[in-house]
Amino acid sequence: MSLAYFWIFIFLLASGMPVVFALLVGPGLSLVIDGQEQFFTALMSRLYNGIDSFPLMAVPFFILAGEIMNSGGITTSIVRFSQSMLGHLRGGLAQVNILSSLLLAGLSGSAVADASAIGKMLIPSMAENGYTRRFAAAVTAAAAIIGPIIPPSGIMIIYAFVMNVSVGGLFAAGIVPGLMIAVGLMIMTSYLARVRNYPVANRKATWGERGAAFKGSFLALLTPVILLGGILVGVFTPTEAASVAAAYALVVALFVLRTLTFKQLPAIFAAVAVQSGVILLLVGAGVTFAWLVTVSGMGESIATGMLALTDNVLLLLLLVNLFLFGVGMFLDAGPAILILGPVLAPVFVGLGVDPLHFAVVMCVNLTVGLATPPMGLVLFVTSSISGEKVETIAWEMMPFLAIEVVVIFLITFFPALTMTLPRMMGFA
Amino acid sequence: MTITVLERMIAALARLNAAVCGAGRHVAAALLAVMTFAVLVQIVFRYVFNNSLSWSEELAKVMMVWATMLVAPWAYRMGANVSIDLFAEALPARLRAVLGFVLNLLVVWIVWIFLIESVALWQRGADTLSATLPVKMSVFYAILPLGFGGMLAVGVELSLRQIAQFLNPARSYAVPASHVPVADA
Repeated sequence: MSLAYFWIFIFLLASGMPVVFALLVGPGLSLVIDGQEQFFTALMSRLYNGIDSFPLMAVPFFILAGEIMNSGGITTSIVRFSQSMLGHLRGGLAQVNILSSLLLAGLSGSAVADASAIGKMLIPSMAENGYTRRFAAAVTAAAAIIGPIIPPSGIMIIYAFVMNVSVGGLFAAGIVPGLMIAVGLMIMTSYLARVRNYPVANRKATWGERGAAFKGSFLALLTPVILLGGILVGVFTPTEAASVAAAYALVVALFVLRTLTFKQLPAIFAAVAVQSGVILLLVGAGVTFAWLVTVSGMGESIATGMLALTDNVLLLLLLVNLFLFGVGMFLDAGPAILILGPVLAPVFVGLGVDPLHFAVVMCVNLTVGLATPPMGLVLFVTSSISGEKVETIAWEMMPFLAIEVVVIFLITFFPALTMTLPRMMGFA
Repeated sequence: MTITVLERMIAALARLNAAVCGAGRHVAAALLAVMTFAVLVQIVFRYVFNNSLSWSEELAKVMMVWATMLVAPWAYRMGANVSIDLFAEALPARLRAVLGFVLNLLVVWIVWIFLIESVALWQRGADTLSATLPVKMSVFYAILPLGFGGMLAVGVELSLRQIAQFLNPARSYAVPASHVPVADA
C-alpha cells in the first residue's frame, strides 16, 4: 500500500477541507489510485467501530456536565470563591481568573468551555477595574488551557482511546503539569502586576466571608473529588464517573442551586448533541485513518526516518516537542492526536519512553497549541468576548506562553514530575 | 434562466435538508438523554441491587452512534466541522471558489462511497443477532445509510449553492446561519 493517502490528506487539509472529511477522502482516494477498492468495506467498519466504544462515551458525558455547570451558575460560585481568596492582591482579578480556571479544570475537560465561561464573567470586570482588555483576554486564554490538562480531560480520553493507554493513569499524570502551569502563571502575573502597577480591586476578605464563599461553591468543588476519587479508587470506570458527574451537576443545578429549569434542558442536550457529534465523527474518521497508517507501514518509515536523524532519545523528544508545537499552531489538539498519536507514540515507546509519559507530554503540548496563533480555538473565544484581535491577544500572552513552554520541557525531561502520581496509584 | 431553475432547486433542497437536519439534531439530543439514563441505571443496579445489567452498555453505545450519525448532516450543512481555512483565505476569491467546489465534490464522493458500504453493512447485519439486546445488528446499522444519505443530500445542496454563487456573485448563496452555538474540545 502506498503512502499517497498521507500527502493527499495534507493537501486537502491545507486547502481547507474539514478535517473529518480529509481523514476519509485521503485514504479513499489513495485506495482508488492503488486499485484497492475492496478495502472500502474495511474503512466503513473502522468508522463504525471507531465510534461504537464505551470508553469514548466519557466525551459526551463530560461535555454534558460542562454545559450544565456553565448554564447552572456553578461557574459563578467558583469565581466568587476565588475572588474571596485572592481578590485583594495586586493584580487580584488576574489571579482570580487563574485560580478559577484551575478549580474549574477539575470539573470540566474543555479549554474552550472554560475560556468562554470564565472570560464572559471576568474579562468585562477586569476591563472595568483598570486592566487592558487585551491583558484580560490573554490571562483568560493562558489559564483556560489548564482545563484539559487537569483531569477530567476530553483530549486525554481521546488519546487513551486511540492509543490504548489507561485513562485513569493519564488523568493522574496530568495533575502535576496542570498545577505547575497554574503556579507559573500566578508568579508571572504577580511580577507583571508589580511592574505594570495593576490595581488592587478589593479589600481582603475576612475568613468568615471566605467560609461563606467556600460553602457556596462546596457542592461544585466536590465534583472533582467524586470524579477522580471514583476513577482512581476504581469504583467507576471513567465513563461511568463522567455520567455521574453529569447527573450530579444536573441535580445540584436543578434542585439545590435552582439556577437551572427543566425548560432549559432540551436546548442543553441539543448543544451537547452537536458538540459531541462533531467530535465523535472526527474520532471515527481518525480511527479509520490510523488503521491505514498502521497497515501501510507508515509508522515504521517515520520511525526509520527519525532514528536516522539521531538515536538520542532526549534529542528526539526535544525535536518532537518543537514539531508538535508547530502542529498545534495550525491544528486542534483532538485531530492532531488522532492523526499523529499512532504515528509518533510507537517510535518513542520503542526507544524505552513510558507510553504514559509520552502521552502526557503530547497532550500538554497540543493543549497549549489551543492558545497559539494563527489557529487557536481558545484565542478565538477570548477574542470574540474581549473584542481584541487574535494577534493582539497572542502578543500580550507571550510571557504566559513562555511559562507554558518551560513546563512542557520540564515534564519532557523530568519524567518523575508526571509519572510519580500514576505509579503511586498503580497505573504504571 | 438557468439561475432561476438552480435557485428553485436550491430552495427545495434547502427546505428538505433544514427539516431533516433539524429533526436529526433533536432526536440526537433525546438519544443522548436515554444514553445518560442507561449508564446511570447500570451503576445503580451494580452498586445498589448488586446486579450487573448485561444490556445497558450496548444500548448506550448504540444511542451514541445513532446520535453521532444523526447530527452529522446538520454539522456538515452548518459548517460546524473544524477546518484550516488560513491558506485558502489567502487565495484570490475566484480561485478559492473553484477550490471549495472541488473539495466539496470530493466530500460528496466519499459520502457516496460510505453510503454504498453502509447499505452493504446493514444488509449483512440481518444475519447477526446483537450480543445483549433481542434485535438484529441490522437495526443498529440502519442509522448509517440514513446518516450518509442525509449528508449526501446536504452535499448536493452545498454544491448547487456553490454553482449558483459562481454564476451570480452579486447575491449570497451561503446556508443561513443557525442560532445554535458551536464549540468543541
